[in-house]
Amino acid sequence: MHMADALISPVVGGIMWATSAGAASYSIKKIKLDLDEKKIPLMGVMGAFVFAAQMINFTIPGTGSSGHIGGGILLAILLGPYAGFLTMASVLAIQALFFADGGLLALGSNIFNLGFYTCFIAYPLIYKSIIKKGITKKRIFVGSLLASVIGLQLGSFSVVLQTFFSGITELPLLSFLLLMQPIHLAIGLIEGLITAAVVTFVWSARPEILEPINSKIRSKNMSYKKLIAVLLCSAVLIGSMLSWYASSNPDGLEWAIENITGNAELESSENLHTTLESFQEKISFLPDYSLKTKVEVESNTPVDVGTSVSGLIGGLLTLFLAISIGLVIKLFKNKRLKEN
Amino acid sequence: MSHHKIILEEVIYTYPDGKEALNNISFEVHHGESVAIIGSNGAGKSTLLLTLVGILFPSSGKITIGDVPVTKQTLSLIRQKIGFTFQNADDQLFNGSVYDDVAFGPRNYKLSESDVEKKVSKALEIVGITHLRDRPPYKLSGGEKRSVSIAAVLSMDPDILLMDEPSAALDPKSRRRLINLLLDFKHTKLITTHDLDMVLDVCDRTIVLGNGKILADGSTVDILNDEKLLDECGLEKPLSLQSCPICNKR
Amino acid sequence: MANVSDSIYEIRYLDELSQKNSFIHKLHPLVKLIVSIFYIIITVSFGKYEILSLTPLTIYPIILFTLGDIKFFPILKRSFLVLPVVLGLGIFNPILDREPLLTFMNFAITGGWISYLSLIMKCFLTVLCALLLISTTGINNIAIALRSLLIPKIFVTQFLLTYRYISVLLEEIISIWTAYSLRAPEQKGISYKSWGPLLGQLLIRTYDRAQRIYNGMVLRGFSGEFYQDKIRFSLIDFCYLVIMIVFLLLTKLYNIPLILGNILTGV
Ligand SMILES: Nc1ncnc2c1ncn2[C@@H]1O[C@H](COP(=O)(O)OP(=O)(O)OP(=O)(O)O)[C@@H](O)[C@H]1O
Ligand SMILES: [Mg+2]
Repeated sequence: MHMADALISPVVGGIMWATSAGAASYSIKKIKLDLDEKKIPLMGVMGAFVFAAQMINFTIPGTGSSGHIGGGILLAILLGPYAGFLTMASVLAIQALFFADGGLLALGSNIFNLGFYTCFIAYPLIYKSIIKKGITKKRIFVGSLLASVIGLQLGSFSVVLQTFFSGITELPLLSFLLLMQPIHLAIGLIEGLITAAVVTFVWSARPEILEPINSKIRSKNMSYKKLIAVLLCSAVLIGSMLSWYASSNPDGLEWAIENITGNAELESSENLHTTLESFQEKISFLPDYSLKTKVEVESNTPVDVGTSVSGLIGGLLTLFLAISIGLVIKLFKNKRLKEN
Repeated sequence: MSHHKIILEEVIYTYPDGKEALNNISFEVHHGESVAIIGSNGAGKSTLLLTLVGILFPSSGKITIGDVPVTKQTLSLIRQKIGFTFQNADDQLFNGSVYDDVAFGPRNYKLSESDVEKKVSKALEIVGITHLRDRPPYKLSGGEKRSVSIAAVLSMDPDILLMDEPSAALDPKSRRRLINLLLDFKHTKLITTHDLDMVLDVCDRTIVLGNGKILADGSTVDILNDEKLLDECGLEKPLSLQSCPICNKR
Repeated sequence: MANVSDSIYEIRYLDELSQKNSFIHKLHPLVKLIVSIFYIIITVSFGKYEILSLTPLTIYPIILFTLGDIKFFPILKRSFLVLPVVLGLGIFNPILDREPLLTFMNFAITGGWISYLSLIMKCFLTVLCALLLISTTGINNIAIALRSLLIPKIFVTQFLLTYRYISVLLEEIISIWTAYSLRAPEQKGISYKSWGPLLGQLLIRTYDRAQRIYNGMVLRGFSGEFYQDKIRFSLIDFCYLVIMIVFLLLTKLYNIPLILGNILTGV
């Protein structure tokens, strides 16, 4: 599932952007080392392939429903993890721009959820370790199936966490997980089966397409651990810095942590309304989704409607003004057109 | 000048899967000559062209372009002289606009932007597609793409033109324009095609390939009139040489 | 496979819009990118009950539509495509959050419905913003913006190539699908047996195509360096940037509709 901008808070979006950008710049460094500028067109065209292939519906035997290919694992298998990750990032960026699928703020999360887990976790830890014992058709099948399933499980877990920490849904974490993981297990199985079918076909028809990358990677095992370590550290660092900042005003992140640990600091909300802090609250990019009890609602997240009548009137007036600005510009332009 | 000539000596090329696509090919093309390479599908025409520019290296035999043997070391030298258009124009046009595609070559040879602009404009004009200048290539028709791919090599001022089926997908007018363009291009050219009428117009000499071998090599008029030979090679006498069935009856 | 031809049409439509020559189109792509991202951040930064504060944000898309000479309904139609996910996830809010927050003419409106509404509004605004960015900027200029953000050339080139070959690949998929469905009528998707061969063969063809494209590049002197256009900043770009940022900050700092409403009702 693609995260949408509306489902994500700026902090979570920012953290995920930073993390994905980190992984991407590391990947660029890596592929620059052994490029092979031959790989640039291959990455571009394979990205287009995945984009297009995602639109084919494959019927699932005996169910009448259908599914499509995921992409991350396939790209990692074909191009190696670094180039695969970058290609996936391009595909997602194009989807965000042209189909508003995902979104610009959520792009970081989507790259992470759909690219990182597949290319840097599922591919090296699962696909590759299964293939390591020697490539056979069966191992390719099992490897790509398992890697797809696990990659997608991690991805959907991450979607849940991101939505949750953004404070968008009222669903408790556990029910949200119980909703998402099984759905994505089913989706992952289908994606896995299709990916496996494609990879085994390519392997039997043109093994050399899969070979060079697989042999190259074996010698470079170490760098994964390094990459993952670096990323984890930076994520923890950024996360703790942001949550330190966030803890000075009540936000979704804190609320979530409080809910989990079970010790909400209710009293802190009382002395919030000093002028300085209310100003800080105004400029903060952390939406206060957190507050559930009436008391807190009043003190922290005013329903910003004021008395409902003036709110309604003000809202309508604003919309009216916005539309009239548009109409005036249009009038102006039409006039100029006629004069010319 | 000797440096636009092409010499092949006993060239053999086998694809990795064991298919022997070129089998002992030898010929020589002189400066300024215009040669057609014809033959049925799978005869080895495209493969032959690819070996000339060092995309494929012969398993044995020797290729010389100008006075330079085609080897890994001499590739950039050789490729600067040769303009090569692909059988499928989509493979050649990967930029965001026609202009950028035609400018791709000149820019790679580090010309200044104003020189690039001049070369591009000239190439677009020769091919007659100045109006397509700012269009994205993926929105063009097959024939328009073909024209752009030709402009894209002309902008590099090649000494030798190699073209793989240049007239495929062209409408009669564009085809005629291509033929005139080829007639105007005074340097060496090597054209593979199934369009035998075009061969008749453009090339003095014709080489017939079949199954990776040279089946005939001679003047175009002789070869295209040799119905038996053409039939053996899976080809047909060009329409303009066939006696008109309607007139014949009289 | 209607959705495939739809997406070709979709991409081309947006592409064509981006060829226009309006005031917005002529702005520096980096400026447009920055404003868009800032707009999205401001939009989603409002609390879940703050629906009123979102209304001034509609001015931005309206200005882009009119100054950018973009037709309203086709873009709006596209933004509906994304709504289902948000609608689906958000529906839990009215179910789970039943705290009445407002009374309006004796109706109690629960927090859940307000947050649901704000979620939908945010979804529309952010989606419109992204679609308007691409339809007033175009992919090549986005690439220029990325370059001016110092994003490495390898990535930007790769991004452009992916875009370039999407139409080619989509067309291939259409013909494959046509060929398949002509011989296998009454099937909704592609049956299990054909999964591997069908996509696998397309993949192999694509792989070979990449090889040929690369050949096409080296034959024209390619040695790893791509040329990239540059566009200069102008005073107008700078003004646009400042005005937009100030406007967005104002909407964040002040509840403009409420102020207006209070003035009108004399509260
Ligand atoms: N990449 C490849 N791997 C293996 N065999 C190949 C490959 N490319 C071509 N061949 C084979 O080599 C032979 C010559 O192919 P080539 O493309 O040179 O033919 P052609 O004369 O250009 O045909 P056409 O008129 O169809 O373009 C054919 O039998 C073909 O099947
Ligand atoms: Mg050929």
